[in-house]
Amino acid sequence: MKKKSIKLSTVAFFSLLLYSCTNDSLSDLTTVDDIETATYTQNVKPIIDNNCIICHGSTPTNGAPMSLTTYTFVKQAVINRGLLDRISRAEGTSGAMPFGGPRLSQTNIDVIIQWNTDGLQE
Amino acid sequence: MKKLILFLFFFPLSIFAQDDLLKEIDTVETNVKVESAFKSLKIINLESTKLAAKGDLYLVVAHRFDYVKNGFDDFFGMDNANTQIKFLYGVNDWLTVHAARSGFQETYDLGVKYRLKSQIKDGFPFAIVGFSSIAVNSELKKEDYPLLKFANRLSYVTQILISRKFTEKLSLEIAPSYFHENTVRDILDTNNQPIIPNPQNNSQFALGLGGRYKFAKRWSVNIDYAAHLNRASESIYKNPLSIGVDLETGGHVFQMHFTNSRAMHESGYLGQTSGDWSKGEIAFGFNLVRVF
Repeated sequence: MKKKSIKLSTVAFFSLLLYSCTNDSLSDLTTVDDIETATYTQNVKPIIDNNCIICHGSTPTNGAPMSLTTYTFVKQAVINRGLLDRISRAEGTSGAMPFGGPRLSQTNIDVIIQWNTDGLQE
Repeated sequence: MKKLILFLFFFPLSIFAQDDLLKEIDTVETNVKVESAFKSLKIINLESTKLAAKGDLYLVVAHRFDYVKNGFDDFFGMDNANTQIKFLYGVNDWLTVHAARSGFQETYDLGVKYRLKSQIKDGFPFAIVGFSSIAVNSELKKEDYPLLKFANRLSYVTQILISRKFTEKLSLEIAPSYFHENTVRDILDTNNQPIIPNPQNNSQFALGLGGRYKFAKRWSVNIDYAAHLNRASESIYKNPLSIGVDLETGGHVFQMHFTNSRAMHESGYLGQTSGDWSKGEIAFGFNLVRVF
């Protein structure tokens, strides 16, 4: 009898937890900021600093081939190294950046794409 | 004369008593539980029907390396390991609880496993065990996802594990599973933009299948697989398939395997396995199970 009541309370506990269910996908958790013209210093640098320079620092580590610490380096990477493609790939697929980490939020990816369309200004 | 009557009175009884004792020796003992359908608490990724004995504390250290396809560049994936550390405790013979942390999406998970029915020799044909867990993704950051609430980090899993030990060597298991990810990953279209609304339902169903075959006293070969039943057709995720061997040494079980899943917690391998066996996206991994 005691055994049964513990079993029941375990089941009850887990069904209670289910009440805090949400039905979101990652892009539902972002907000869209309207940027007139995206520039490196204003919009791009904070994203790169938060997500990339752990490996792509002034001395690149963990096998990263280049640094992403300055405007010139990041611009070079967009033009020659397919930075936009690499950060856009689905998480867990081969070549996706950040390596082994979560994909950037779509808002952040879109900011860097806009920076490219706006002419890669400093 | 009195003594004779008395003797006759008791004589038959003593005969019966003898009979009963003999019978007891001859009868087959019923209600014998069939134990150890699986050596370890997991088949590979899928939970097995084994529980910890009352009062036993287990430490499980598991690794999944990167995919082997890059060859010597990262030494067949050895350079990039994903680690899970898990503690299990047998509260009762029918109830095991666990707490774990794994590197995949920096996940914490808590779970309970409870035996509902044991397989009985010449009796009930299956062992039935329930398993429930809740996982917390601690990787998502508020800076990146301003609308993130704690509940968005959670995912829940409920499984019914049904196993049968067919012979001393062969055991099979089937595991109907339900899991709910509070936040599902975006599915990208051909331009790598998220498809809105997300075609993947947050509530998902899967059917786990697994088995082991003992080919030597201390060795067995294990396979497990989970078929996702309502995955969106645009999804990049695959069904996890794992093949490996168990080596039992006194006090340890050492499980070595190849799997296309990098996650080790339930909602991770059921819902977010991205490796493709046909493209060589399989990883070497091991679970080291130690009982104290």
